[in-house]
Amino acid sequence: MTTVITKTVTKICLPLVILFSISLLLAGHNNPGGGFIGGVMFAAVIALTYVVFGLDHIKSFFNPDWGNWFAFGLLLASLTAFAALAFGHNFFRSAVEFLHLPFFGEVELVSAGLFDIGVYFVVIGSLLFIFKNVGDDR
Amino acid sequence: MNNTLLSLTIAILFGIGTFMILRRDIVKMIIGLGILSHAVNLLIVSTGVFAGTKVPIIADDGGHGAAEVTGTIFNDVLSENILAPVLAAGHSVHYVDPLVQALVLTAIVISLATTAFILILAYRIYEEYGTTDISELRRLWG
Amino acid sequence: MDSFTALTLAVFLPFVLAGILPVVEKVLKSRIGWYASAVALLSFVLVSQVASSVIHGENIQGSLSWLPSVGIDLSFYGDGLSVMFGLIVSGIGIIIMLYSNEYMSTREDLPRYYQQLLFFMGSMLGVVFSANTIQLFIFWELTSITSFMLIGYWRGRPLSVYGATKSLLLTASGGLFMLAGFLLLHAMTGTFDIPAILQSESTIEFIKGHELFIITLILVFIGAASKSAQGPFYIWLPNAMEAPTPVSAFLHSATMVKAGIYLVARIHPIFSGTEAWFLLVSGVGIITMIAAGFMAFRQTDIKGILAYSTISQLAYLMTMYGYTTYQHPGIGVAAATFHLLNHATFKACLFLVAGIVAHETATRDITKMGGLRKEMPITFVLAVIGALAMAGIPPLNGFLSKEMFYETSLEMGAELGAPFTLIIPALAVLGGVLTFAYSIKFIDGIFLGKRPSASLPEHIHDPGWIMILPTAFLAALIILFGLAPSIPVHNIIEPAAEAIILEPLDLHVQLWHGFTPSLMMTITTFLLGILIYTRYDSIAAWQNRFNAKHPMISINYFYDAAVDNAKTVTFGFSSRMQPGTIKTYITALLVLMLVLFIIPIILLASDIIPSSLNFDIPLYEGIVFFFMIVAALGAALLPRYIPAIISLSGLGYLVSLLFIYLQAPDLALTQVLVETLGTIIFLLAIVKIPQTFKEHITPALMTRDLLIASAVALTVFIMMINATQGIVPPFESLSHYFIEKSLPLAGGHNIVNVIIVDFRGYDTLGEISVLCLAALGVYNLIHSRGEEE
Repeated sequence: MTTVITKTVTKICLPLVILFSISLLLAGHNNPGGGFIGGVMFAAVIALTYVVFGLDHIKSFFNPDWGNWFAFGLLLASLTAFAALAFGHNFFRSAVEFLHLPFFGEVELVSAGLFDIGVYFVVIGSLLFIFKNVGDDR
Repeated sequence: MNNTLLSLTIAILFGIGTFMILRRDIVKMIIGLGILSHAVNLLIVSTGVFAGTKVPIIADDGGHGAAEVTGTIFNDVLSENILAPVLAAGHSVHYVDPLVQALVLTAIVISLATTAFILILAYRIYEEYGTTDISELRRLWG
Repeated sequence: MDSFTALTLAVFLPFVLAGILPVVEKVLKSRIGWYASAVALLSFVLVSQVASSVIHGENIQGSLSWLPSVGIDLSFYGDGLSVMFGLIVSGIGIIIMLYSNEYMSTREDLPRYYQQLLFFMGSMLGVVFSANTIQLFIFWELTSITSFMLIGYWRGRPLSVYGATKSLLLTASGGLFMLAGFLLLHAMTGTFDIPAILQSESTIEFIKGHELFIITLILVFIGAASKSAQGPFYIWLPNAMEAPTPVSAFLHSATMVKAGIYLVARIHPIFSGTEAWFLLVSGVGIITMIAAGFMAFRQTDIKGILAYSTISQLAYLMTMYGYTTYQHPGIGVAAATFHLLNHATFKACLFLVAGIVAHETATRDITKMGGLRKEMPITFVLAVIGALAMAGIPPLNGFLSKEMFYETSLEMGAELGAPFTLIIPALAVLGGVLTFAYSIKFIDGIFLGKRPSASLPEHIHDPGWIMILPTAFLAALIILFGLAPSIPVHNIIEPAAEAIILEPLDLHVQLWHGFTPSLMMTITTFLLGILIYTRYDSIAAWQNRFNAKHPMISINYFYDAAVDNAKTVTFGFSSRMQPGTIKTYITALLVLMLVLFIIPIILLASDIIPSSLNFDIPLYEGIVFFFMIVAALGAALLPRYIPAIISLSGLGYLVSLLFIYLQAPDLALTQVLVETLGTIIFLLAIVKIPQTFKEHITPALMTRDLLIASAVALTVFIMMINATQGIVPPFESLSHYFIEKSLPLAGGHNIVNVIIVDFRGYDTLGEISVLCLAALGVYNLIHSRGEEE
């Protein structure tokens, strides 16, 4: 798998796919996409770099603790769920707000979006955590 | 979509999966579980296919709240342009029930994580007991 | 802060502050007991604020929305009765936590100890302040559970475990009887709200005339009796003495065992004034009072003596709350309520003394003790005050309430007429005599007489002030309540008794009230008590001989037999149900599933397969389905692992192709990505498992498995062919709701995503937790290996 072609293609793809995964996450409320898909896509492209360049090589300069990622995601998602309680609503009640910004036009802010970001991080974190641990094990 | 053929295919997948999880080799069992989970996902989705015309994406007329159910999947111009060659304009098809999609979407991701877990379990069982034959795991009998 | 807020906080703060206790422990280390004491103090202050409103005649009531759909709110109610209990619980709580600072060695697991004590205190406050029966039940069972954990605090000792299990089995199952009683009450009145019943005379009249009255009373009373160790349920309390002594002082003398008394007092207005009430409550009370007082004689464990005396004293309270006639429903209430408060003070004091003695001498066996008055003078004085109060000697508080007990016994006897005019006072005196005898034994056995040098350590001394002060404070209360009874009576007892009899009450309690018949009874008690005490040891010896000769005459015998049998039966059952081979389970599950499907199939035999089967196959679909089956067969039949897995992932990609074809964009995208990741993980793991095992499939096995598999396939086919006909009119797809509400409620156009993150967000939260758990599971599986080697 580690031919020059795959390496070059991976280098070019990496930022594009990450951007696409973020756009999937953010577009999720209104277009196909969402936390699950975006997260899986992010995880897939990182996994691709692990496979193409070798886990040890990648780890030498890029070695985040994926465990923290899913912990953060789970925390964010549950806090979003609990936040509704603080405003006197039921557990998991979501809120929608429309903002008018100068350049972007109308921006829709949804609390469910925050929850989706939590899902995104959980998916990335847990999949890559498994991936790295299995790959690391000898 | 031809429902007879789809049902037949899913039924055969179920049969193969069942046969596989009755095996003694733990890796074969896991493969069987994989086949079964595909079959189950398809089963759930296909109950939504024939339920009637449902759209997963709502196109709206610019106002908030006034939703009109149409046959288009994507609602912004860019993606419509990209998808134009694939879908003929005004092409209306049967869509999968969104509720069913939501259920299956999470199921797919979770089945990946659980499959990984069972695999590692199998690997550790092999390390501890030196075999992948589940009928030999008498120490787990309690 | 208004009183309702104070009340709610008093119940919930102990839970919250106990929750963060492990964090605080990181800072305070072994001084964590002071934090726990501060929490108890906080609760006490909050309850005091409620008490000040209640003394001014204003009952606190309010509720927070909890389960509105079934008419259950989180509602709290503070009247005289509950405030008195609240003050006892939080007040004794402070004393116990302070005392524990010295009693519990710093080597113990202190966070667990204090956390459970605080949880208990919160649950107990919850019991007494709950305004609805369901909520009361929940807090009630919470006290049983915390008591279970505290009795079993020393997990390594078999006796602790035995005692903990026994108490949980008896008190928690008693609670279930109580719940059944509450449900009957709800069936009669249509409400779970206790004040609503108490405040409506017509409802109470209706209950008394109802045919379910007796059974409800019995069920609720079983709950109360099991909690307060009355009647046959007494057996758990002596075994509960395996708990650390501060726990025994707190839970098993001053507070938790009084929850049953509280319940009896709480339902007093509803059920009293009937013969059934008198016979049940007072009957069980009198029998327990005398039996437990008698059994206390043969105890050699100092905490055992106190345990039986607690049972006996609680039976006093039961007896007095049971004293009731139709004309005069609340004869014993004032006396019982006063004695309840007094008992909490002197019994807690005695337990703390027992704790001191056990702590300093390292034994709890009274036969090994004696003559400690010289070495532990302060403890000796405190013990004398506590024991004499229990024996009912003036001018201590126990004397006052025991006088009131005698008075009400006379009154009750007179109300009932001959022959009860004599019998009831005589039984009361008999109870008093027994109490007097074991109270004297407690002092005499430990502190008087000759010091046995062999069985005791060389140097015994009074403990430090941390253990002395809380005990001394209780002793001071005993004297204060004895000398100036009007302080507790006007501030605590009158509001509490008024809350039970539901009418204004004016009590006059004085130390000296002339040569009344009750004073004569007290003097008789002392004389008989001294007489019995001279025969104390021979009575104990006779009891021991009797027990050795007739082991069957014991409730413990039946309890042990029942528990042992239950163990054998359940073990036999589970070893038959769970033989341990995975294959058996899978086969059993599949066969059961088939049976469940075959029944409707036979019933609907005529229209199982729709008549219009569609065999018009588009080429594209045909190709996809064909390759899917090929891929699945490949995954199943290829003997080597790696080709089989490649084949399996081929199946996954075909499935995602099908999703695209079915116009499910989200699904198709996810499926492709997941399949890629899944294949990589599969391969990573599989290269570590060499393929050494090859199952030999005999023709018989093959036939059997193929039969099961094809039966499953057939049922799935029949199910699918019917399901894919579309949803038949009487049923309707849930999605209509989501499609209509997605934009207005959640502001999202992608219904799939809106369902995931919004409408079914709770599900998703659970699902991402599963993801995290799977990741952690993988981590642990991989890293568990290092520790074993």
